[in-house]
Amino acid sequence: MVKENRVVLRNHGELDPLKIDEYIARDGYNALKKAFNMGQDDVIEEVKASKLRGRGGAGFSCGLKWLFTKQVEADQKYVVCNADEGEPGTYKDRMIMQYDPHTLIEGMAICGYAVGADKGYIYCRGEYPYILDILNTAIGQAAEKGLLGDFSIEVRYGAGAYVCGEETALLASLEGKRGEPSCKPPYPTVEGVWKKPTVVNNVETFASVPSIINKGAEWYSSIGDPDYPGTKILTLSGDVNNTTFFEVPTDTTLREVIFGLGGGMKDGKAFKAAQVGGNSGAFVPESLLDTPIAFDSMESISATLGSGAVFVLDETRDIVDVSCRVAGFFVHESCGKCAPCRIGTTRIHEIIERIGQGRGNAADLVLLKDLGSVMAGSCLCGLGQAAPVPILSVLKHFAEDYDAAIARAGEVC
Amino acid sequence: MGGDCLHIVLQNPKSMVACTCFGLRMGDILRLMVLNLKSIYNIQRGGVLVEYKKLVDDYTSMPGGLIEAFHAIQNEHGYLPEAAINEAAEAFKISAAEAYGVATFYSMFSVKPRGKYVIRICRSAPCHVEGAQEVIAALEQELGICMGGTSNDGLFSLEFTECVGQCQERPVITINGEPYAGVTPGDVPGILNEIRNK
Ligand SMILES: Cc1cc2nc3c(=O)[nH]c(=O)nc-3n(C[C@H](O)[C@H](O)[C@H](O)COP(=O)(O)O)c2cc1C
Ligand code: SF4
Ligand code: FES
Repeated sequence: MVKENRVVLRNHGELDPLKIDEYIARDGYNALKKAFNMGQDDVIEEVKASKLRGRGGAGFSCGLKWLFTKQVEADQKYVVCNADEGEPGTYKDRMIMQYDPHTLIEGMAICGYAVGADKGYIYCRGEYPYILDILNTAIGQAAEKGLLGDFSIEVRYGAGAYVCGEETALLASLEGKRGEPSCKPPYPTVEGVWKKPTVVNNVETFASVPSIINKGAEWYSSIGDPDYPGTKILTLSGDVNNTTFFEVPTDTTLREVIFGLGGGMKDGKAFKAAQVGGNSGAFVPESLLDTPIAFDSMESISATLGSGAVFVLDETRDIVDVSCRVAGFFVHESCGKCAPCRIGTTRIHEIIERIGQGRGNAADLVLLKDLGSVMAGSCLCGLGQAAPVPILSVLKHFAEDYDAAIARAGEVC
Repeated sequence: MGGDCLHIVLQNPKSMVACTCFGLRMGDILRLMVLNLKSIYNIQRGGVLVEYKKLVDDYTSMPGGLIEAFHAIQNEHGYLPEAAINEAAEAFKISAAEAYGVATFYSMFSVKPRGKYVIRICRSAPCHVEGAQEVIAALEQELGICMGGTSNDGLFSLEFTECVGQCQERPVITINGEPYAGVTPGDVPGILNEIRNK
């Protein structure tokens, strides 16, 4: 039986998030003190050795990112926490900030010390206004106790744009501009906010750091999958019994998540599909449920771990209708900067809508696949590149549903 | 025509010459300028003069503070009035077009007046499959308006949103940012009454 392993969420429900003394009583800010004594290089070395990889979706080595930022000569560097959390079905970053803000603050301060940045920003999505006071109170408490050294943190708010989760768009938004992505390189590690070297990490990534410094890289890298070690917070929605959150080692399989922790399918219905990683993730069929959630194993089945959202559908769900809604999300969220995405997302949605309404034909499926491969290769940022992923996965694994919808169209005519 | 012309004139007084070429008399132009000055102040809440500039000025010293300034204006007025956007553009030393571009990029900002309470309904897939549509129908019926509309009493506006990160219970709506998770159509009248009685 699979069990939770709470590393990031170790304090969840165990303390009052507004009382710093309760955090300190649970070993809080020890890692930061330890980091100050270790020296910058050793902190980065420790994080690198832990093999912690980004929890925001791209899976890049956290230690390497810090190293690159440290290596650049600059008069000012920044640490930015990506708290834009926009993937539908995801609320893990909110849980961390709402119930244990000091873990995030400590992780950011360790990063600031390691890379030589004295200023940090938390870019929080505008949909979480109720978190502002919690974060500011916690930051104020830590500063008042002099725990953060010369590091300061400011909370900034987005205003409802999923694309601002993409790091270059996020930094543009932080500068008060339209949140449109830009071409990389230069990467933020070299030219980030206000053209200064900037570390951008996800909330969960930063929140993993204090435990790594406290307990050591060896301890961390031995948890879960060797190539993507540690734990991952998953948020379950859809037709399972326990639609809640879990923190599990990264070698846990999807089947263990859905049928173990998730308590299996609701009302005794049969499993049909699980969309993993949020709206931009692939739909996974029953036959692939024994895949571990780790980054690379998910990639090996053309899926992504993404934000860790697991959206489960039972046999009665209309997957054409669900994929139509998934496609509609990208129409709304495309920033419109580049044509393949601006037009492609609209056309994908239009075609699926047509098929769903019983007006599709077999040529539409070819069109969808073509459009998908053009977008994957030509869109400027990850939003447009990933937009066809869920659709192509449905066409691959649930082709019969699309065929049936098209056959119905034949009957209508 | 009057509005457009006015902007040109305000940003470049020399263009008055151009305007007169289009057949506007000097008197008209001056009258328009006075009108615009008036619109910088917005008369709200029983005649209290509200100066947008005050709200904006709190954020000009904050690098990249335009979005925070917009949040402050919207928290106060429910939307971003044109005059406020112009005021912000001036304070942040950017063009009005640029400021307007930012205001319209973000889905939480509105450049049109809205009800006192903005109800947003999550339509992302997890909420969609668990009855978001039925909640929308109940809200529309209860308020007598369609999605995107504002009720006659000016109290409520209905808007779509994508996931608001409260997916532990679905479907989810927010009212002025406050989440209500696991809403059923039957809950709708009660929720609206609770707000009306505030
Ligand atoms: C469209 C799009 C949306 C994204 N949204 C988020 C997000 O909400 N949160 C996040 O941490 N990363 C998001 N990312 C990934 C970021 O660009 C970036 O890789 C990440 O913040 C780096 O942090 P990490 O290395 O700790 O994962 C998004 C990427 C794309 C292309
Ligand atoms: S891919 Fe889409 S979201 Fe990304 S830059 Fe192009 S239009 Fe904008
Ligand atoms: S999917 Fe509706 S709140 Fe997250």
